[in-house]
Amino acid sequence: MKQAGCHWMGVDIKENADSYVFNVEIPGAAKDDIKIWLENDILTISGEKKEIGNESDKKLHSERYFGKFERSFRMPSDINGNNVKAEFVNGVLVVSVAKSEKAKAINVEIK
Amino acid sequence: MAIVRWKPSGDLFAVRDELNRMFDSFFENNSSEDGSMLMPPTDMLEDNDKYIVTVELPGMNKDQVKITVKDDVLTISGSKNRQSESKSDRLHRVERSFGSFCRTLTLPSKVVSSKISADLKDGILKVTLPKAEESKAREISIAG
Repeated sequence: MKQAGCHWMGVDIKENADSYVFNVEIPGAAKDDIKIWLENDILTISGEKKEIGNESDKKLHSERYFGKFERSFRMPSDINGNNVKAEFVNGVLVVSVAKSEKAKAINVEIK
Repeated sequence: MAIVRWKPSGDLFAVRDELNRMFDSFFENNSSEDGSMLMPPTDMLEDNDKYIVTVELPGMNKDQVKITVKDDVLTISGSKNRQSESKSDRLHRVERSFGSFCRTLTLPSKVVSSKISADLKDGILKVTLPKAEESKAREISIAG
C-alpha cells in the first residue's frame, strides 16, 4: 500500500470449495482505473481514484482519499492462474481466483 | 382507576426492571460488530449555487441509506450489512467494516429543500443541495 495519505482499502478474503474470493472496497474508483495483476503467486490490485469536481469548488469538509492505491497478496500455490474473474459492483471489487483441479477437496465415500 | 392491592416488593421489582432496561439499551448492539459506529468518509464541496456532499458507502444499495434535511442540518444514516456467507466458506482476512452509521453535517447557509437530489453510484453517495437565492454570492456594483 502506498504510504501517502492514510488510505486503507478494506479487503475480505474467503475461500470456498473451488475458489478464493477477494472483496475489495474501492468506492468512487472508475472500473477502467483499476488494474489487477497475477504474477506467479502474487495478486496485485492497483489504480487511482480521481477526484471529480472543478478547481473553483471550495472544500468545506474533506475526509475522503484520492490518488494512487496498491495492495498485493500472496496466493497459495494451489491456484489456477488462468481462471481469474473480476467484477466491480457498487464500489466493491470482487476477484475470484479458481483453485487448481487437484487442490479441490474431494469427498470420499465409504463403501 | 382500578384499585390494586399494594405489594411491598412491587416497587423494588420496578426498579430492577428499569435498571435492566438501562443496561440492555446501553449494551444493545445496534451499531457495528465491534460496538462502535461506522464513520464513512465524507466530503463537502461548495460552488456558486450548490453544496455537494459525497459519502463513501461501498457495497451498499440505495434502500439501505436514509437522507434527511431539517433546517440547515443534513443527516445521512443507514446500515451496511454483511452478506450472508455459506457455512462452508473459510475466512482468510476480514477487514471490511459493517454496521450502522449516522453522519450529520451543518450546512453553512440555507438550501432549497424541495430541490435536493441524491444518487448512489459505484459506492459513492452524492447529495446535491442547491443554495437558496438569498445565500448565493453576488457581485455588488458601486453606485455613483
